[in-house]
Amino acid sequence: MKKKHKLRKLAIKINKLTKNYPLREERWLFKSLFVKNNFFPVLKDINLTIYEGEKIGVIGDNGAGKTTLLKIISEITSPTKGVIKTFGKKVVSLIDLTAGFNLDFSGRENIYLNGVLLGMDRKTILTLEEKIIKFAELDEYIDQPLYTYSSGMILRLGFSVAIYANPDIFILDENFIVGDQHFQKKAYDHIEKLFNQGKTIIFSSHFLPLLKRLCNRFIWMDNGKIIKDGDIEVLREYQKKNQSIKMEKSPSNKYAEVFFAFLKKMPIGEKFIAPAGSGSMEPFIIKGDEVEVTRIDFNDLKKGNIIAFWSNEFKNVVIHRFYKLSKGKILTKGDNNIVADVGYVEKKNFLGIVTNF
Amino acid sequence: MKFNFIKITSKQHHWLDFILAMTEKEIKLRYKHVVLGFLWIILNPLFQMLVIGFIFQFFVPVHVDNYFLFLFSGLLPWNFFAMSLAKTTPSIVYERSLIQKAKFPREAIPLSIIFSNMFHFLVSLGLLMIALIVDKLLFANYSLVDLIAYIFNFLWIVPLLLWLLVLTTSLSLLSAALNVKYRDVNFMVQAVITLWFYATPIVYTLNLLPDFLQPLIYLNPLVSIIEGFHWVLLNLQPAAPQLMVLSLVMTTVMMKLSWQVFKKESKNFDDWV
Repeated sequence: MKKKHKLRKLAIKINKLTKNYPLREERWLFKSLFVKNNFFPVLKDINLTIYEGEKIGVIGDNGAGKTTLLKIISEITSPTKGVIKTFGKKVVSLIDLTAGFNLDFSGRENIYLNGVLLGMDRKTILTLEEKIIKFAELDEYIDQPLYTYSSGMILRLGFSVAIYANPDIFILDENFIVGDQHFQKKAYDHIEKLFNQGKTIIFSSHFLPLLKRLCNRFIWMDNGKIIKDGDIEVLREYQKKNQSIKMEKSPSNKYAEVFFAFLKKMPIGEKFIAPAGSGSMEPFIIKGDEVEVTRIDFNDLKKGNIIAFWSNEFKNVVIHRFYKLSKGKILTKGDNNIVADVGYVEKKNFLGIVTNF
Repeated sequence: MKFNFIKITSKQHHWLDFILAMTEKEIKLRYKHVVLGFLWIILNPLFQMLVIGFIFQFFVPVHVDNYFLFLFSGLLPWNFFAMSLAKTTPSIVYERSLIQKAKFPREAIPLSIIFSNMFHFLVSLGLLMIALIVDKLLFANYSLVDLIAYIFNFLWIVPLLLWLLVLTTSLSLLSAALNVKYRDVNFMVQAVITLWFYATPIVYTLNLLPDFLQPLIYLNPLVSIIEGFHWVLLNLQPAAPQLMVLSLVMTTVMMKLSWQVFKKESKNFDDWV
């Protein structure tokens, strides 16, 4: 195992790194010139070695220092103490997809601006321009100023430029998958392709199922330190810790059953909003997301439909996909393979199909 | 091997690409949705010249052939300098969203502003030079030899521009970097620019000053540059050419110092914006 490590090429090496953010304090001139500022430690004595081709998921609660670590790696900010060395030719960080955009410029001009910001040169951008526009699905709008775009369109354009930047080390932060349902799927597929290309990727997200599927090494950060670093076990542990907190905090939903009975009485064709009770449809429907459900007849269901039903096991409304028919019951599954729970739906616990999310 | 120093690495190539892209953005941005477009490059200083000229010719007894031309040839470099300094000083803070979210050479922000102003300056300077040549041809009865000598003298504009560029850049980098931590700098710069205008021979000539002030005023490096422009464009002799060396030395020292401060401070811009 150790031998294997030696053969791999280094991508990033961080040695005893500390980052303090200064605190802004209102002081008068002389004091502010001569008194040293107080600071807030964000990263404390971080040691980290990342090899080429590793896909790293950074997890941790808000304020754990995840984003600061990513900013240090992408050289947006510099460490207070310690050393960081990156060996990749090109590091691209996507802490914000739209950082280089200017609303007064057209989509086409913004491709150029953001492309240069992501380290592409003029020629490369010009050759990739049409591909980027096609991927963003902005054909006829591309020469309009950006302030006429919807926020979804801007994000789509940002995403498209980003994936064509072709870096050696890719740094992704938080909500990287953007746009409407159709674009999300496309974006997700493309991200998966990127992950399979042998590039070094560092991905910070609260979206654990996605990390679980894409990454092979996990770093758990807490209070400015790396507290665990390893394989999928780290993520499971973190998930367990988080779930135990949630269980303690949220009281059992007494009214869920009453609510279901009420919904069940609604006529065919009626639409209503219901919360997704589990994360089994991630990455497209996140736990707690509100989805639009349309009441239809049980017999009209087709394979592949996303359906809402009552689960006795979870005592809640569950959103799943119609998987197959067996013995008069419908066997359902979530899209998320890791949380591979199976549900059984009959006429009595069936609610409707999800028509929008 | 011989020409190794000319070869630029891909990193430097990208640095240049990035600054050019930012400059282009800066230039385009100014004229988005503007009807008169680039005409404003020349209209702005023209209005300024008329207003100042109209007022000051009653108060300042300057002995030059044409007070308006004298004003105009001083105002153009001055406007480049003052507008650049005023706009670059808060520029790092204004671009905080970019600073916090992307990696790029931080100096690109002030430099792109300066270069876009330089572009405007060059356009209006070019127009002024054409106007001057036409004037000499039609009204001043210059012989052909005189005219060629006059135009040939325009070559001095190149080192003058370079000097002005270095001076503007050095002050801009310094004030932009310091303004990140101490936002007072922006207020200071605004006040200093107003004062600086009167400490530079734009509306007056140096021989109007009392004798003891003449050597002192060369501590202002802009004096030499404006006098240089007056000399090249209007054939006005500088008051004390030997003191220009002092300004040149000061500019060099300032540039070196500013660059060091900017490089040191730019590492921590993200912490303070």
